Amino acid sequence: MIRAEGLVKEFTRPVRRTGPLAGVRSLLTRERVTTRAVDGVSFTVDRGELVGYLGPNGAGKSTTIKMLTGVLVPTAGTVEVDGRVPWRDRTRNARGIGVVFGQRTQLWHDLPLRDSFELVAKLYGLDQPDYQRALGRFTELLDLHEFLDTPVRGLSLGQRMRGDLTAAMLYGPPLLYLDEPTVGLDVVAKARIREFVAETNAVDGTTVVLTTHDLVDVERLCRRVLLIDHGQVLYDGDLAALRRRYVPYRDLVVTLAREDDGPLVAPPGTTVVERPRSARDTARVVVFRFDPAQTPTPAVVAAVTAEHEVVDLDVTDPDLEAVIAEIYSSGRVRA
Amino acid sequence: MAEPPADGAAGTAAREPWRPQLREVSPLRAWWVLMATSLRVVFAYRSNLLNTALGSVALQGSQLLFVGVLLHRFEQVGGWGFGEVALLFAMRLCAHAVCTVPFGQHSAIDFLINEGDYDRLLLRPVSPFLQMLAWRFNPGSLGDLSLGVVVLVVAARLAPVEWTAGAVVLLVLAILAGGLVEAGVQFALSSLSFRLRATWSLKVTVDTTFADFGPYPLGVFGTVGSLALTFVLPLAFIAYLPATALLGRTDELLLPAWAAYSSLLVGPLVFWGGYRAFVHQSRHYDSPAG
Amino acid sequence: MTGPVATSTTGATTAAPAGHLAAQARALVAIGRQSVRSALAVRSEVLVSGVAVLVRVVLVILVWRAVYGSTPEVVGVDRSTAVAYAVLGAVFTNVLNPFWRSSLEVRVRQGRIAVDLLRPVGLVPQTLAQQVGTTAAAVPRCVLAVLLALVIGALQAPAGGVLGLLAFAVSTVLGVAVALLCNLVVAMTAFWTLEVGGALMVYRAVAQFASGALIPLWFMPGWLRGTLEWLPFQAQVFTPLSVYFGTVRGWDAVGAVAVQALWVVLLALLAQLVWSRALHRVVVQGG
Ligand SMILES: Nc1ncnc2c1ncn2[C@@H]1O[C@H](COP(=O)(O)OP(=O)(O)OP(=O)(O)O)[C@@H](O)[C@H]1O
Ligand SMILES: [Mg+2]
Repeated sequence: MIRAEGLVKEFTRPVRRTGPLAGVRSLLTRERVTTRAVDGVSFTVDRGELVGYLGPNGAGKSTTIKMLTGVLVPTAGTVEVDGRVPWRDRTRNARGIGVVFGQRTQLWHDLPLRDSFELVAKLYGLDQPDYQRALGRFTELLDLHEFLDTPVRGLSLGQRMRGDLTAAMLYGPPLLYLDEPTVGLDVVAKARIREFVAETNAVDGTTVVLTTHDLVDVERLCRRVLLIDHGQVLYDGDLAALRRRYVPYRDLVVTLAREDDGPLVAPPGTTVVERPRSARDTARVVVFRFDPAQTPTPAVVAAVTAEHEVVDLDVTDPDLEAVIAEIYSSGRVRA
Repeated sequence: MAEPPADGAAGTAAREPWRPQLREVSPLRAWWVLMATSLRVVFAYRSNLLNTALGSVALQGSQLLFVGVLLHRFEQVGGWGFGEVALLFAMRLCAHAVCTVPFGQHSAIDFLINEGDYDRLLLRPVSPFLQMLAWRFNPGSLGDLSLGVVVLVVAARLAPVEWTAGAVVLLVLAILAGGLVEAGVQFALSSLSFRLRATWSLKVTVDTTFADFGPYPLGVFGTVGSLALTFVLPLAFIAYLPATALLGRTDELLLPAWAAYSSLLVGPLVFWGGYRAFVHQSRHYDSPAG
Repeated sequence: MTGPVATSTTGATTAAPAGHLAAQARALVAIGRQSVRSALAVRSEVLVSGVAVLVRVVLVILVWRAVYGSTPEVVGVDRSTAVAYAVLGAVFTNVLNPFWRSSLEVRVRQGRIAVDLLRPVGLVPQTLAQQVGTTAAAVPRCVLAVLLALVIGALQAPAGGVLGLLAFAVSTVLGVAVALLCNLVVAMTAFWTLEVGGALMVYRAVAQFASGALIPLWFMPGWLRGTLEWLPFQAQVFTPLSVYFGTVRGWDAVGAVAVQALWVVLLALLAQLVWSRALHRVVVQGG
């Protein structure tokens, strides 16, 4: 569906001078600085995939999306979407993609949401019966009833985002780009949007490229992630595999019934990890760490409950946030 | 923490995939759909419509007043009398309206580029150029149009022209062509916005130069001035050249007499050239971050 | 733009009353300088506006020379005076570019006015400082234009020697002040209606014509001239230029300058009145 090879985008702008007579000096010079926002990115996305495109601020995510959507012409490299070069065959390409930029709406400010949708339908050549069907469907799915007739400038962020999503999906594009679709939304609104995206991907078979800083989005939606930083791909592959690479263990968190339960017995294949006692803990909490590939979780649970009297237990996966934080701060992915 | 990917599909398993058939939409239709919407928005704010149209009338009217006072004192300018200058003025203003009513939104280009709204135009399956033209509707252009028509009707009576069918056709075609010249020039200037970011003052300068120096017979600017206002800044093609044909004054041209009719051809050419320049330069658009 | 202003702001709030005034003055200077800088920020804009005023000056010279043709004098005005007047008229129009909109209207429309109101410097001084800054940024290109006109012999030194030059300078400053105050009053209508675009265009057209920037009042029919003399616009351009060309001289010149000063006072009072109304409105309606 998408094939990018060696994509590069450079931005050039004149040097801004400071200090005395800065104005006059910048009038007289032609010095320019170049930033490489995307620096040789290659990847492919297959039909029906849902890929998370992740990276720290300024990594070049939005710039890549803009090249994929035909907004920007790449400085070097090639990109093909469904066999077309987006910027060259822009109009054709535009009919087959839906795009949502969370930071910037594409709806018409002065028009009620409904009129914006109608305009989209007309511009994409959607027949009236189809449009009515789609409108009904999306109004239901995203619960737009309440504000369909409100002008866009009067919508809250979450409402506007749902409007933008609808406008992007109204004409049933096989490919959907989402650049931070959940930014600034509350928990419920985020959940609704996630559900919508998952459904679109599952039911319609829509290919989705998703950019986000919310790792819950990623955990809920993406099997595959592409990590980039400084315009270069750091990792491209399975999210679970990435996580295992960093933290090949799982934790069994156990709350003991009694404060003094004798010496702790760690079952084979596990180690006891001290956890500093927090104010929240009303009883003694112990963490058993194990590699699920070596020791199956039920075995560990069974062994621990056999040895100790337990009031509560919880199996936690390693924290994705910690993994991502380490990758971002080190600027690379462990081999 | 790690829940399985949301299977929203479960709840709506009955839903069929949404893959509608899309019709082809002609560029003209797309333009009209957008333009009609812009018009609807403008006409919804009627007081602003009137207000802005009035502003435009005042602005063009002050120039008319100036020329009026001048002729009141001097009786002629560059050998042209009141009726002749009035016709020239009217043709220029009507041509200006032909430029501003349908094409005036080139003035939004700086804003579109710097605020990143041009992104939106690129994401729609319609030529961004057409979308720009339909971006908003400037009610001021209706002021240009109304004043232009009124002055033209009056000037047509004052001017020493025999209004045969041929003359009327020439007048109408010349006004249309003049509008195309002005629009083409503004498109070309707009295309520079993709690199320079701001061409607002350049465009305003050219616009006011056309408005302020359009009502004079070109002779007043001397040989160098006339040539510059013909070939560098094509002011002559907007109204002056065809006006000499209507007024039977082609003998004062520095060019052969047939040049008086050349604007009919030059208009579409400049328009096309300006459009091509815009399309060509738009490749340099670098969408602002964020 | 927030940079220098913000720093002066903190200074002003903590300073004693005496230092308070100084801090305010510093803040205003900072605002003015900032608007000079932003007027000169984009190179292509600077070049274009420079070339634009030169081209305009040349074109008006050509037009007025042609208008006169071989006539030596019309209504007592000779050809060289008319040409020179047109040159200075074009230059004045360029300097008084605030015939364009002031930043006030834009800031009201974008709701940024609330931030401006929080600053310890009054909004009116802020706006004026900005306009002065923009006006100052236009001075270099206008000096160039005047030099060009002098070189090609379209302009002569002012009548009345050094004293004449001095009178012209005073009259010019007052003319600019009248223009800025007029702009301010008109821009403040933005507090009542957001649709000031049209009103500003009308104002600009009227100001340009009635100030004598396009055509001297000398050439106007008696009734028109009589009317215009009662309006503040002629004090913006026509009075300074009349002083320049010595068409008013001696006590007449003093009188003309006094009329300008009177307009400054009247307009300042009017601005104050409109402003207090506007403030009331902002406070009551929350902008
Ligand atoms: N139009 C532009 N001109 C100059 N530099 C730009 C432009 N657009 C983006 N950049 C630069 O390119 C780099 C990548 O920007 P981009 O918007 O793609 O980042 P991002 O990964 O989307 O970041 P974020 O998570 O903050 O949205 C940044 O350093 C940015 O400053
Ligand atoms: Mg981004």
